[in-house]
Amino acid sequence: MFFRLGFINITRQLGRSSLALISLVLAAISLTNSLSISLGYPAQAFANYRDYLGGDIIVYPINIMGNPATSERLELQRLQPDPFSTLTTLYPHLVREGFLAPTNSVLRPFSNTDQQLLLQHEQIKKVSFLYRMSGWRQILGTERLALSLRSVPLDSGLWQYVEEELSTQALEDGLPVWLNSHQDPQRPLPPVGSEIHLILPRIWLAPDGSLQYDTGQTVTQRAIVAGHYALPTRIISWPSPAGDTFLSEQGYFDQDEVWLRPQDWDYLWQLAAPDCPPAAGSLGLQVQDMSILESVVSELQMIHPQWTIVSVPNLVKQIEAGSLLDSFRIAPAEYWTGRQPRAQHAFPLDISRTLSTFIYLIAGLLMAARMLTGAAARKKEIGILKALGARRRDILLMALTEAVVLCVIGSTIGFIISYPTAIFQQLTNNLPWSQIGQLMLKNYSLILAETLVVGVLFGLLPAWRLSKMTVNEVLRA
Amino acid sequence: MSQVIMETINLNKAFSLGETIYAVNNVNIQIMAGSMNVIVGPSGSGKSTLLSLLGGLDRPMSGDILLQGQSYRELNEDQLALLRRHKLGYVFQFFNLIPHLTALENVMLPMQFTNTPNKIAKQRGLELLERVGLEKRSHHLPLQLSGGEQQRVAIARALANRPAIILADEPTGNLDTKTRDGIVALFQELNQQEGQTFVMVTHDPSLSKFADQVITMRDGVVVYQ
Ligand SMILES: Nc1ncnc2c1ncn2[C@@H]1O[C@H](COP(=O)(O)OP(=O)(O)OP(=O)(O)O)[C@@H](O)[C@H]1O
Ligand SMILES: [Mg+2]
Repeated sequence: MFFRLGFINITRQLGRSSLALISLVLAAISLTNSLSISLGYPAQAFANYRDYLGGDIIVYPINIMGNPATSERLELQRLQPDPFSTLTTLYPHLVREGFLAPTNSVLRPFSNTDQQLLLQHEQIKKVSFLYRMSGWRQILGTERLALSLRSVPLDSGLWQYVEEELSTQALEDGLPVWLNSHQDPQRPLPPVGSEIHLILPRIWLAPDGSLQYDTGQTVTQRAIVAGHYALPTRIISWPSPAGDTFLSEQGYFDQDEVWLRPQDWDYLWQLAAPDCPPAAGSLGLQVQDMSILESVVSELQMIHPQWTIVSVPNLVKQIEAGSLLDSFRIAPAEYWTGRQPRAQHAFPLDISRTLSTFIYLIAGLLMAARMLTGAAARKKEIGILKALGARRRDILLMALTEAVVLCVIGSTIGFIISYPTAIFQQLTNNLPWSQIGQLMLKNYSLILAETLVVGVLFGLLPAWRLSKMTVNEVLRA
Repeated sequence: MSQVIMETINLNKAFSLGETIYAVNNVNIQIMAGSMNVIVGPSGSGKSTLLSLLGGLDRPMSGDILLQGQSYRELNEDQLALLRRHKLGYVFQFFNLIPHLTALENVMLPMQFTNTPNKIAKQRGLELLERVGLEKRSHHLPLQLSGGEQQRVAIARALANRPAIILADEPTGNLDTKTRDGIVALFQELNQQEGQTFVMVTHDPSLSKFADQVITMRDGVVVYQ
């Protein structure tokens, strides 16, 4: 009965509800967009990321503990607008949710020419190729997770970071792989000894020297999880405020990455790219003295005017200036003088969530206001109902119905308006309809739930207050 | 007609706004089944306060009310609401209809509260509207009705659940003389033909004329009964 009354209250007084309804629609639109845009538009996401890093190539010191001046190794990594680039690190959910499900993508590997040019720099002693390949791992035929496969030289010292390892006998019956033991409870790592499948896109060399990744054609290779590793990386160091020493921060890599022994990597590359020589995704540089990092960068910039090259210490400054966060860099509070220390794991600033939260707040206030528009009329109505014998729970049921109906209508309209773009995105990424449907359901429930929480909370508040008063108090007030 | 349907026992209600005002001061009255009772008295003497206590719209400071032997004091808020729903009909000076419900829907409302099947509620609603002479207005919204018509709808609504008592606070106070006469006649009819018990607050001498009991109040005290 009071359920019906709540319903009538909306249909007969649409004017009163319209403002709240519109704001709920807007809130749902903005939330849909924040769900699908920030996660959903690789080009935009890449642009954000590129802006955020400020360059096409980042140069960062590796394997330094403490003083960067004593380090002698640099890594050059090229950022690419392809789904297997660093983007996947930044937006792993993009990959999982099919927004980044790649079709054909192009990888421009570093070439021998790059190596030769870099060696011209007098401070650079050695330039080595770091081999990477992109693919997926699949467990039990269900979850596909994009990852980066990496050839790890046996003498490279990286192997000391393997934490858990299988006995060598067990390794003989499968291709051994080592998985990065990032801490994501959403995606527990397959345990050591378990069987996984590596899925590799078909790769070939285009006439222009670029590598073509065709994810429409794949090869699958069975593998055994030989171990887990936790790789400390991206140590950032800087002079202490007093200037007498260096401060540093240790970050751990949380990219979905698989290590392979060089011989296994060669084997896999043969499998995926039978017609082209191994291609390096990044370069390792050995330099004389890390203090010349900036000059290396500027010389590199002269060698490669077509790219924007930035160094990681520079990056830290930029991150600081832009209030952007990175998942593997964080400095102690002293470094950020006068500022708050940051959270360890965060993504680059994405205002769409904040925006939608903000709109939700407004929608919530309008919901509350809706209960009170013509506050006198509303009070009178509740007072009359109470006088006729409505109990407190009846009034609340009525208000709850109103809030729920408005929220369902609002979020559904908002979702219908804004979600098609996401579907379009997923279709162009060849996501199967069944998965598109699942994601749609998931996103819709999420939006509905958030809208309901806000709408019901704010919608019930005034009714809660009024329902507590005696009839006389309500009618007289 | 000799049976007591409602009585108050040492009923008190005070408001304190700086100084304490005893709006209802130690009131003991008895209402007989089927009687017409009128509460009169100067403005501010506590008539409305007493009536809202009788209607369970407010709680007394002390004392009790018995309706058909049921003590209000023993009821919690929800039980009191159910008592209002089943046993009482309230008519306000300013009609207090729900503006976005039609006349018929307003009348049906209390019956829906008691889970009367819709068909029966509708039938009785139409009968009641006919009883108050508004059968042609059943689908009008309150704003499309005159004051007198709105008050008739409110009376029909008060009658809906066949209440033990109808309480009315200046039901004609907001109406012009001609309309008032119609409403007074309706009350009289309901009382005399159908034995409906009424307690009403009024300044209207035409209503007091046929009252079985006139309760006169002054400063919260019943001075003459
Ligand atoms: N909610 C309240 N808060 C404070 N004082 C109140 C309240 N309700 C009534 N009063 C006071 O109690 C006294 C009695 O008020 P009540 O409304 O019962 O009088 P009344 O006899 O109905 O008067 P009228 O004929 O003008 O309607 C008045 O002095 C009034 O100011
Ligand atoms: Mg009064």
